[in-house]
Amino acid sequence: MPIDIPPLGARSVVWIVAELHLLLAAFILGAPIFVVVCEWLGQRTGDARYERLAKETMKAVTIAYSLTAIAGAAFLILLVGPYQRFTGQLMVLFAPVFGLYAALIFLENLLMYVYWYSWKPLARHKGWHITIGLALNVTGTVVMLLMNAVGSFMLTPPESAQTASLWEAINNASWSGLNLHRFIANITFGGFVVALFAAIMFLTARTDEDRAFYDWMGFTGNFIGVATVMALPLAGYVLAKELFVYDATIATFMMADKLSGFFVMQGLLVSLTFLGANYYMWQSIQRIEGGPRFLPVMRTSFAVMIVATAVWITPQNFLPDLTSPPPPGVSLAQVAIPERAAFIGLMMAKALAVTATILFTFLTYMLYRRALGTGRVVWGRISTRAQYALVFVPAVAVYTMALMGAIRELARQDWHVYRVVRDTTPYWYTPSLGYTTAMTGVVTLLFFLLMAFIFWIGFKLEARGDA
Amino acid sequence: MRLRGLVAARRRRLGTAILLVVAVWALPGLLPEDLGLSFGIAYQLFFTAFTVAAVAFFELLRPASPSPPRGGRRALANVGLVYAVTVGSLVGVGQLYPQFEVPRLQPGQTELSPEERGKAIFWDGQVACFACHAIAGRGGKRAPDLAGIGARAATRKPGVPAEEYIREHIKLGSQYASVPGYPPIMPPFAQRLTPAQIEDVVAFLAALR
Repeated sequence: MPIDIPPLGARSVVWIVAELHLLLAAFILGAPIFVVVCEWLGQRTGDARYERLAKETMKAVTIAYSLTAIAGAAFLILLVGPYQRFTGQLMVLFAPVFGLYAALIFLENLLMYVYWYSWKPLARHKGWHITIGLALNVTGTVVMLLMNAVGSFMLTPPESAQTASLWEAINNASWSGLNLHRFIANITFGGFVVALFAAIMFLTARTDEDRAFYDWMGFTGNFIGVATVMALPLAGYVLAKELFVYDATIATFMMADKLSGFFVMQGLLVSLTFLGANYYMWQSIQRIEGGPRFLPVMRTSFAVMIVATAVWITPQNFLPDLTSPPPPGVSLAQVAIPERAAFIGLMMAKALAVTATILFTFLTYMLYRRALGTGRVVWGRISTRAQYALVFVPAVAVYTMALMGAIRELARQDWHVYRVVRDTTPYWYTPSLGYTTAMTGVVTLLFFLLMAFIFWIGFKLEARGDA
Repeated sequence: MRLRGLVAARRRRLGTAILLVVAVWALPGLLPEDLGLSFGIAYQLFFTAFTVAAVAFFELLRPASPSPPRGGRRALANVGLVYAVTVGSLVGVGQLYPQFEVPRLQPGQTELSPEERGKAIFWDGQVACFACHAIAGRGGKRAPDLAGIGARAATRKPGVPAEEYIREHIKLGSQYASVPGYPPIMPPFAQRLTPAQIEDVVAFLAALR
């Protein structure tokens, strides 16, 4: 390793910066999809709230663009220092991809500025404005597909990686699975971050009118997040299956060996996301005049979700990998699931638990829909606890994304490119779950600070100027 | 009246929590051993933590009045607090989860004995013998448990010593031999492992007596 970065070490520094870049990128890719859909809904329904929601979200996106670019540049600088030889090899192999990537980033920025600054001038030509927004989203998605090709190639390179054509390298075994998963996850993420902004704005709003609007905005953001998060477990299975078909030992390493504890954590995180989103709906239904009558049914549905969570996160054993013996003085029976209950630790039971959670979340929304028939919705009349639920859910969602990103990278084990380029740096090994969760915590908190900066500069500072 | 109702509800929930935790700890002792449902201490601690968290969650489901937020700065501080406590709790779960760092076999590592190198290969995620075979109950179940294979292998084929039987079985897989009661799914490893690695695995398995 030519350059290390003490005291954290090169891998940890690259880890933090890369994940921050990816989280910001997920926001600027996911939120504009949300924005254009809202703008289109505003035009179709004539409801001015959609237009305001789209514009306020886009304001945050424009600021996030600069931060994403800064994080991306820092990531590149860090890569060409400690990992210069390997980065060079990737650059040579994917030269046309990186060339196109640079050109499209330029185009994407151009479209973003045109879209943002033409909002007023094109107010009477909404069709044109929405078309520019669509072009922005298509460009952003292609940018994501290009970088997914590089990332997925590192995990699932074609069999003859040295002689593979560029297309074979791009269209590798996990590319389409990763594309699908990230596309859906970005929209989920965009929705939850919008809900986070709305919660903060609600809590700091000074008028009832603003509170009503931000209450509605938080509901809409959370709805988009939940609607798409329900598809994510399926997309995750598609990706995992592609990995399993490519090389079953990767799947074993993830699900039964060193990363199995990481997947217990994943189960907990996804369950918490669903529980948090459903809790928000529990509070939301109370702002409908006849809504409280549905609370007992919702309580039962929470009980089912809690049981499903217990099944999902109960592990086969508490050993960190297949080589570790039980701790001194502890028998295997004390840290492994009893034979008769072993089915709880199997994938089928976990899949059933996820399905139950998704179905009961769907039921929650059906109940909300039913409740709408019992009286009017009083936007803004909601407990502040609902807003804190909208803070909790993005915190868990960001943490999940950061942890899952780490898992996907760690699945390569001690390879930069799986079974092609070995990681010979001092950081070749798989870190423990404890270290990984701490790193993920750091990334999640730093991301929040960046979001707080966007919120302060885009909403509070400007509002102070207007006043 | 409302306050009294709230206190009563909280007492009920606390009572439920205590009852559930007692059940988690008392049930393993009450159930007959041959039922095979006695969870170890790690699971009891795990279920206790889960039960407490679940009851705390239901505590959050009590009705709350829709009150307007009090003050911008205080609300912002609360937002930061909720976010930080959420992230901190998740990090805490990761820290408390049982884990022991075990470095895997390093490339070119030679100071280990053949048995130790063979053991590392057996448990290595890239070779994944463990995906099908277990040793004393740990590992896969699709192929025979290899505990005691060092002694058993000598009886498999008349006149074939244990080491040779194991070596050929690894090299040729199910083409060489299959074990009654198990599907013939073992692939040949002659191309996937080097001759030296095969010898290491043979040394490890032959020592399992």
